[in-house]
Amino acid sequence: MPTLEVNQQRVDTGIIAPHESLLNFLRTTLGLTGTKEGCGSGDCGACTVIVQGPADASGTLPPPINLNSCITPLGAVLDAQVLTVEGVGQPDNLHPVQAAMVSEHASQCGFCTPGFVMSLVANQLRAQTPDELLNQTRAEAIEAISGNLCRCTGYRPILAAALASNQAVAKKPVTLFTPPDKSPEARSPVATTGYHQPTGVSELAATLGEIQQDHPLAATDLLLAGTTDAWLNVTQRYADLTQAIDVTRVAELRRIGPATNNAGLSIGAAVTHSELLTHFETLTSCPAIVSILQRFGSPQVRNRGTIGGNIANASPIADWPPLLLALNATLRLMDTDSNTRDVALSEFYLDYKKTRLAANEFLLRIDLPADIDWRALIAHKISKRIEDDISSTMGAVYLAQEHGKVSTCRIAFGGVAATPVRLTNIENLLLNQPLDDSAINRACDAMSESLTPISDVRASADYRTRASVAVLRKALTELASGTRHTLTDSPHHTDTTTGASK
Amino acid sequence: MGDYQPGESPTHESAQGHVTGTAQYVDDIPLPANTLHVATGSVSTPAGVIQSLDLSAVRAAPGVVDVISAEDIPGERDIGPVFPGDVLLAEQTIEFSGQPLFAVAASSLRAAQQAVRLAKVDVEPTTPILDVDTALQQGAFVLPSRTWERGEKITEQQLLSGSLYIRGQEHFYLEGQVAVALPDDNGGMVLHSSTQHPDDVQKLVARVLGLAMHSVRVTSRRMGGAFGGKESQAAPLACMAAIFAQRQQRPVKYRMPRHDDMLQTGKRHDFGSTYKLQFTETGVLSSAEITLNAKCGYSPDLSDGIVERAMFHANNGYYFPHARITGNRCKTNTVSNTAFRGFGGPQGMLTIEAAMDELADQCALDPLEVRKRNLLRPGANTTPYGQAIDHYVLKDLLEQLEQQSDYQARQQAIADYNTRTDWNKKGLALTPVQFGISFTATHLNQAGALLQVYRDGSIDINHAGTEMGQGLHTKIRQIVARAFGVPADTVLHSATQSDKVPNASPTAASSGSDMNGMAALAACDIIKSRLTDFARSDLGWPEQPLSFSAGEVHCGDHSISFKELIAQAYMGRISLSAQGFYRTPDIHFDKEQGHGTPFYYFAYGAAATEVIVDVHTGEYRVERVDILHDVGNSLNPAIDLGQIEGAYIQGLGWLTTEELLWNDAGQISSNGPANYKIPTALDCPPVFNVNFFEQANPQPTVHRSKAVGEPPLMLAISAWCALRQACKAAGSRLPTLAAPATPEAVLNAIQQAQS
Repeated sequence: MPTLEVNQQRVDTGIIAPHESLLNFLRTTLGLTGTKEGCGSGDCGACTVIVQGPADASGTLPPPINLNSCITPLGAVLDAQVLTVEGVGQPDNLHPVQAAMVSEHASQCGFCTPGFVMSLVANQLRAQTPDELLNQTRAEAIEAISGNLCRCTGYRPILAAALASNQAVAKKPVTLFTPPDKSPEARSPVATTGYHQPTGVSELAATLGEIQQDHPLAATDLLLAGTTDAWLNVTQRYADLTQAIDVTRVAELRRIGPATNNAGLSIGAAVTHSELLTHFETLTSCPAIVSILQRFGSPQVRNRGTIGGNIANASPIADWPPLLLALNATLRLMDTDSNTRDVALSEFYLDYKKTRLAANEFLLRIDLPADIDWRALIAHKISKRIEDDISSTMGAVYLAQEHGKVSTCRIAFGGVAATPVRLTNIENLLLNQPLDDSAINRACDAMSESLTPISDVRASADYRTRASVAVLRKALTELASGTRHTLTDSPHHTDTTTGASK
Repeated sequence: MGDYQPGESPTHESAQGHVTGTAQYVDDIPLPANTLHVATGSVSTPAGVIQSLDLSAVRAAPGVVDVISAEDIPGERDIGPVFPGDVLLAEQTIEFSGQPLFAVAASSLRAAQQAVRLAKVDVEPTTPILDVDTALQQGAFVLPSRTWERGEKITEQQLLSGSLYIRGQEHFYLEGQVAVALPDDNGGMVLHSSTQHPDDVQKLVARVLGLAMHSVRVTSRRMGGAFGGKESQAAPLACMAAIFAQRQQRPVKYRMPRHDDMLQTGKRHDFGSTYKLQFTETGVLSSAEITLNAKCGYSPDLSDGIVERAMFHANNGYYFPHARITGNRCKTNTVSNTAFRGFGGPQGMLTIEAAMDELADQCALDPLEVRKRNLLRPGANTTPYGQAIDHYVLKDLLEQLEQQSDYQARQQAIADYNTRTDWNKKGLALTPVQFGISFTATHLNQAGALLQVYRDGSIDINHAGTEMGQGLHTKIRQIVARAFGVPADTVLHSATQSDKVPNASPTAASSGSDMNGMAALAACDIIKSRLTDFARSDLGWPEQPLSFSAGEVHCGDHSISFKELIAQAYMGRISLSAQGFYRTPDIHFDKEQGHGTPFYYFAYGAAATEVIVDVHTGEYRVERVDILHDVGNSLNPAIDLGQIEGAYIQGLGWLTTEELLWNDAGQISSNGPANYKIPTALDCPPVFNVNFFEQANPQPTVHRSKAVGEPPLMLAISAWCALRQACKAAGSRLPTLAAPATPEAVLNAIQQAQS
């Protein structure tokens, strides 16, 4: 019988329909109604819960993450521990986060409140040391709740509660999770329900092949990764799934690192945006990628969403493709017979939502060249709202100079055509030229003529063109001068005192 | 337990429930396994006539128990809250994209939603009216237009004219619309409704079921946000659930998923405004002509009052010696727009504030100086609708905020910054708010409260107001606890119920604590009077008023604990239950003439907002906000601060990132939170100074407090004005700026400023 732990209690799920969501299971089956549905699309955070585990094949337990339970399949959390607001504290025994939310008057209607509590608790669980909590800035607290919408308070008291409770927890830690006792061998058997969870890449290929024999569906219609987009089919279009293959436990897809010696970075397709944010903040320092990833969805979305999903989804406004095009990435694809082939990302997109993936192929990993100068990458994202918004346009420029002239130049944009695009004509205008004002002006003038954006709810075609030119101008100016133009020091404001008073 | 007096800041009565998830909302109520779930079916055509509606596949879908269309409604089919025109289900004519045509009750919400997609609907499309201009050209109005005139008509030598299109706003309450209907054993219906107006739900459910109002009982314990969006818009869900519950004699829940909610429920009105101003060389207005064209959608709903309130606030706090103000209620083939915090006031106010900046620009004066010169003032104290002002709060308030925010020095610093930088420009604006308090429909200015003292000394207070997060119940508990001098936990508030306080007005127009607080006090006075009589007759106490404090009751040398007095009064057969009632005095308004005293008083405020703009992309940030706001004697400073901060950010969203859009086919394109962006925590300004303007309400309101729900929303107009000033600084002239000022709108304005 498939099981998971909810608030430290073992729960038998019974037979799971592949389209059963974690939120529905918590609210309807378990009666845990503290977790709310605000939007059903992963945009508001009212359904936020914390999930940890299960441990991977090596026995390593991943860090606890907050996620949107409305767009998380129940199958994805089998054998994991789920913490809901009911498990955090009770009215007569409040967790410090809850106590601070009360004393700071941080709830008004209260409907979003459990979600904020969970994101703030997750923020504390992520901290490695008490000092990290003690020193957390307002900007970091903002980032922690950037996937939670509140329509009543204006957020000021919630931020105050975040910082106050960090102090309390740093001084007196609260234990919310105990290590799971479940060995990887004792995993839930789920394949009979139609929800498949392979743990290795050959098992994935074989499972896909077997299912496709009975269900004539493309791999992209059967595979689930972070489900931050795929699950909208279930919650917004009410589609039933009879078969689903969850790739998030395939070990080979979960790795980051050089494939071999002397090779560049290799990123498994099911690595999450959060894991990559951590990677690019610490192991491979790349400010451009970090700045984009900080504005990529929300923490809840980054914790679940995968780089492979972002690429294979083939959205013209996805944020990874421009970065990866500018970095000259190559994709490794695998088919149901475990044959692999490499496709340059610049060749991958054919048309709107069309890629070179065959019906029996899936994305295995993303390979980057060995000789990247990470500081040569500049990227800018323009969106209506700064946090948790889909780009109107997003551009990335990778540019190196030798002997006072541009020696390498790759410019890529999203949101300006039916697919993410490399702008080779602009690159050619810059190559072998000094990066001076006249070259920048020439590039920007030519840019406005090379784009074919559309008008939609996010921006007009005209604005997309003008903003894209501005992004290019800004990136090239920054690369030429070595200084950055920003409205503020980071997308998340640096600290200033908040002077709200009565 | 601490002091629970008005003026103190006890936390929200449900705060512990909120943070632990134990506070129950309608969707959280445990229901029997046989409960049915509702979904409605529609087509995307915005205007047309139904030729055929084939629901056979819908009826045959798994889990479906019942399907209804308009002819299955047992009673009346029209559920217009004030005027007829809002149909529960379309009959022949489709009037907006997504309008419900039929409804399904099924074993689960998922089954119901899957089933409604199987209908075969044949529609003969007609030509829709999709915007205000077309409606004006065709003379399509949901209700008659009105013009208020005062003094002489504007002459041809007008010096300034302009127009502004102000987009509406989606409420985006975090809890979507929801109702549960439970048939009772008397042929009646019990409803749990997330509504600001239980009385309206009761009236309309009775009407569609063909029952008398006494057969329908409505409960509203709490809402997960409302903001006006659950004043009239909650009723259709309750009515639909009740019809199925009556037909099937089973519990029925109707919860709208977010997508349906954004398609099918009304929003803040778009307004197309035009204005002409005449003024002296010193920037003092002599005449104003303002036309406010509201996009009402397909039906009247509450649009009459909303456009009227836009007209009331078209002068904000300024004096118009001569004025001509027109309100047009344009009919469009879009969802019927409805109440939203401010109720038309924000659109009227933004219009005049936009015009004031242009006036200042033409006179080459600082915008704040022009605003100050035009305030209502002694000798120039009458609004265009004839209400005379006798408290001149705004002048002091503006000057105080000018000082506190260091306005003059910062304007200078910003001017310096703007000459030094090319890529970024800053702007700072300080704007006032004068908001009229009272329902402009005079009859709604009434409230009741039911006070019950139990014989153990515990108190239950029930009143006509609903809790949507604004802390109304917390304030009422404070008022009652103070009246009896008892600690907080002595007073409990139970859910708002139509069978406890009848004929309740909506909790709207910022009136909640004003009216229900006074009704609660009136009930307390009745009980206290009975206790006084009892003490005199049965305890032999002297003929002096009793004083209630610290759990004790005193009279001369006598004293007794509150609990003991109540126990004795019970034994003495004294009624310990009382109904309090309040009607706001001294207000009247002649709608035809546009003349009267519609408001009991005004709430005032002002905000100074500083922004920084990227002149190449139009991106911007709000860097600092200073607010000075008038809440009279605050009943609960923490709650009032929360209302001010929250309203400012909600207003900021309306004027910046929240862009309500329809496509050319008449379908709403901002149809979910992925493309309709309300503020996040990052949009909370890093410097956010909020202070109260310390002054008791001169009117005898409850403890001399003032209403606070709506007025501070309009403080965010300062952010929009600041963005426009920053755009001007990027060029050479004051540009027009769209509302909302998205990055795209800002970039357009910059381009205009530079042209």
